[in-house]
Amino acid sequence: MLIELENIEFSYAVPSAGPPPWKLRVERLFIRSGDLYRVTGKNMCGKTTLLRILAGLEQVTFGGNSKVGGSMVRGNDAKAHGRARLHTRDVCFLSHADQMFPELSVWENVRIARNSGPAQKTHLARTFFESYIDSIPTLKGVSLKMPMGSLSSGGQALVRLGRASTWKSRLILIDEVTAHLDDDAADVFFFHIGKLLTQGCSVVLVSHVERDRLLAEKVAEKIGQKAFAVTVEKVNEHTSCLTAR
Amino acid sequence: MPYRTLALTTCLVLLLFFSTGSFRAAGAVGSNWLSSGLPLVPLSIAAGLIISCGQIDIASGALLTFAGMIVIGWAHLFGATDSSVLVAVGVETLSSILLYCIMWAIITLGRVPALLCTLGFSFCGQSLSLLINTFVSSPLGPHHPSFTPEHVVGGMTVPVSGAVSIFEWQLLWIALVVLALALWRYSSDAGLQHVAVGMNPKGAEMAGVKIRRVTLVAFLASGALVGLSTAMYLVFQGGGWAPNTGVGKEMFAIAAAVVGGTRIQ
Repeated sequence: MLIELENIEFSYAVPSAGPPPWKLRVERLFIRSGDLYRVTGKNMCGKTTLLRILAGLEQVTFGGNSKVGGSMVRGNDAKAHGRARLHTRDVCFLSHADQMFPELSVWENVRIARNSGPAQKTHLARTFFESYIDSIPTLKGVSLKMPMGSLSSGGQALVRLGRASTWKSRLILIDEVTAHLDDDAADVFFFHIGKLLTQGCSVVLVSHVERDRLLAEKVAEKIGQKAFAVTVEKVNEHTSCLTAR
Repeated sequence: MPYRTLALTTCLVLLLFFSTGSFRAAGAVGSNWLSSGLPLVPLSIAAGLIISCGQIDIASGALLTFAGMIVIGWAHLFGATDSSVLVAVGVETLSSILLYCIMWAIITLGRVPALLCTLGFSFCGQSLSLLINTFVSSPLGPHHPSFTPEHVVGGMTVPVSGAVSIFEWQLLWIALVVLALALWRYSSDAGLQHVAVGMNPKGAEMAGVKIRRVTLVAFLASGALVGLSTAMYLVFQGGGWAPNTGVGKEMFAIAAAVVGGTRIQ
C-alpha cells in the first residue's frame, strides 16, 4: 500500500476567528502501487486540495490516520512526510497551475526535478528523456535546448509527463493537465500512463473531460486492471466528502 | 561582432588597463575611482543572488560598514599587525555570514517581509558601527601598542602590507567569484534550482525543490561576498573608515544587479 488516508479532515486556515467555512473530509482512501485513480467532482469541491494533501503540500488539520509508504504519520507530521516524498521525487505533481519555467530549456525543466545523484544518472536520464520525446509525434523536432515557453500548452503537458517518467516517480498526481491535449496527443499521454502503471507507478488523475475517463478505462483494461473512481462531493456548503469505488 | 560583446570587451580592457596601475599613485584619478568601484562588484553579485531568488536586501551597505568596523575594532584590541588584520578579516567575513543567516531565518522562518527585515538590519548595522567607532575613538577605548597613529588615515583604517595586500588584487578576486558563480549556475543542479525559485516558486515547490535551502545558500553566499567586498574596500579606503562608509552602497549594488539583468519577481 502506497498511501492510506483514513478519517482525516482538511480545511484552509482563515484569518478571521471562528469555524472554517469549508472542509474536506476523507473517510477512507487507499492508494496501491500500480493502480489508476480517476478523481471526479464539481468545481470548488476539493479535488485539487486532495491532490495537494497526497503530495504533502497541505497539512491535514484534523485527526485520523494517514499512512505513507507503510509508516503511520499523524497531523503535522503528515505534511513533513509528504513534502519529503516530493523532495525525493517519489511523488510527481503535474498541475495545470504549474507554468513550469518558460525561460529555461526543456531539458532544464526536466533536470530540475532530479534528486542529487551521480552525474552518470543524469546522462542516462537525458538519453531516456530524448527517447521519450522521439516517441511522441507531437514533440517531433523539439530540441531539448528550446525554451520551455516556446512549446504549446499541450506540448508542455507531455514534457511534464516525461519528467515524471524520467525520474521514476512512484506516485503521479495529474491535475487537469490533459485538458490542453488534442485527441492524438491524449492517446499518447494515456499510452505512457499505461506504461508507467505496468512499472508499478500509481496515478491519480483529476479531469473533467469525458474523453479522459474513456481513455483511462481503456488503458486500465489493456493492462488488466481497473480504473478506480474517486468522487469528491459537496455534502453541504461547508463540507466536501470523498468516496472511493 | 555584436555591439553588446564589443561594449563588454571594451569595458574589460579599460578595467584591466586602469586596475594594473598603481592604486595609490598621486593623480591616478581613474585608477582610484576604479579601485573604489571594483568592490561594488561582489556587493552587486550578493544583491543579485538575493534578488534572483525572490528576496531583497537593503542592508548590505550598513553591514559592510559594520564588518569593516569589526576589523578596525579588532586591530585596536589585538594590534595592527598583518596576521592580526588577516584574522580580523576572517572574523568580519564570518560575522557577515552569520548576520545573513539570521536575516534568512527571520525572513523565511519568521515570515517577515524581506524589505522590513533588511531595513531593520540596516539600522542595526549603522548603530553598531557608530557604537564601535565611538568606543575605539574615545580615550578610554582599547589602544594596542602596535596600532600607531600612522595607521590612521582620515578616520580609521588598518595597515595594508604583507598578507593583507592580497585584497589589492581586485581583479583576481572578482574573476574567482565570477568563475565560481558561472560554474555553480551552469554546471550544478543547485544553480538551476536557484534560478527556478526566483522564476516560479510554486513551480519549484511542485518540482520538489527545497526552497528554504536554496534561499539559505543565497543568503550565506551573499554574506561571504559582503565580507569579501569589505576586505577589498578596507585596503583602498584611503580616507578612513567612518560609520557611514557603506551607507547607500546597497542602492548601487541593487541598481547594478538589476541593470545587469537579474530577474525581478
